[in-house]
Amino acid sequence: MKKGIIITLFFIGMWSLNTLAQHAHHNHKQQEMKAGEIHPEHSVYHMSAEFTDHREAPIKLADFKGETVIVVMFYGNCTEVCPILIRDSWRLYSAVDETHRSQVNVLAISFDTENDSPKVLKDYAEYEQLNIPGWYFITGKHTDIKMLATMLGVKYQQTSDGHFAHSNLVTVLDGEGKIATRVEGLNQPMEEAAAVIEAMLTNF
Amino acid sequence: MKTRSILLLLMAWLISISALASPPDTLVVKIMGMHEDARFEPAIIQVQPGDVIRFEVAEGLHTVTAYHPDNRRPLRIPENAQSFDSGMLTAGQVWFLTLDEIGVYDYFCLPHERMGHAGRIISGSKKRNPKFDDSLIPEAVVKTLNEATLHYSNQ
Repeated sequence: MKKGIIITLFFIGMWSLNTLAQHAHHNHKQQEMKAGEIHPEHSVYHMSAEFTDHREAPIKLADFKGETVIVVMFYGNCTEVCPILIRDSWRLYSAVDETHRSQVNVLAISFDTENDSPKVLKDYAEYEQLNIPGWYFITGKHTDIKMLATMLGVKYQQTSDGHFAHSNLVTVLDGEGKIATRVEGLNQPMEEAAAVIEAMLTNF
Repeated sequence: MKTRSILLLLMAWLISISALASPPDTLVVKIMGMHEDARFEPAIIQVQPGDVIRFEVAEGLHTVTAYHPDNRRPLRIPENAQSFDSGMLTAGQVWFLTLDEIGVYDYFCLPHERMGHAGRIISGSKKRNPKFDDSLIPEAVVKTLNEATLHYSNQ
């Protein structure tokens, strides 16, 4: 009888540990999703959708044709990785030679279309001291944002607490809107991506 | 007798030399919690220039970032001091910081700044009062620093 109770307790304990481990694993997965596949020959400039930036100005991606663009997807309420993603984008931008930097655009595109209005994005940009020429904090229709994310290989999914699980990706687009290079993960070295940008700017 | 005096003087000299040459202290700041619960413990520490501060991440994802224009924030460290930024730190990681200038250094955690995840290092005199413009940083950070200052003053 006593032996039976011990065995039962042992199995309950094992089951609890397994459940806890799965829960922890699940939470970790919520924070980061691996980037999706991309088609290097596809141009995001074929998207005709109209977006809005933090200055309330309408924007089409094709507006940046012929220019070098850094793209990052994020959301303003993120309390984990997005501030680091934005900083990573800044690091890449800053790694470009100062004489060329004015030719680089940065699009920070929010996938939280519900909360990140142009006004919210403007406050965000101002606090981050990134309300500067060449930087655009962008929102748009949910379907357009999703389409753009798919083209960039950025995966995201809203979680039950209102936050988002998402890929951590900084992308560089060439003058034709094709993906020139991607930096996946947080806090990554930016020298290679900066060299790609410099090479593109030199060839323009 | 004379030999003994010389030996005593020699010992005293050696002791004083070794005291002067003692390595700087290492102080530990633990980085605890996630989201709204994220915090530096202790939020305020006092060090001497040259001391080593060891930041230990217990859980979550954090940074130790100076309030400095290099980090796109208002200046809240001594004017001549170098800016610092740990980059992303995860659970189990440690990061070391040494401050050479005397003065007050405010710092924050990039992901959790708006929730008040910030800290202060007083390098040198305990009596120095910072003259920082609190309107330039999130209210939650001001609250954290004020509460920590009160707690620190009562110690």
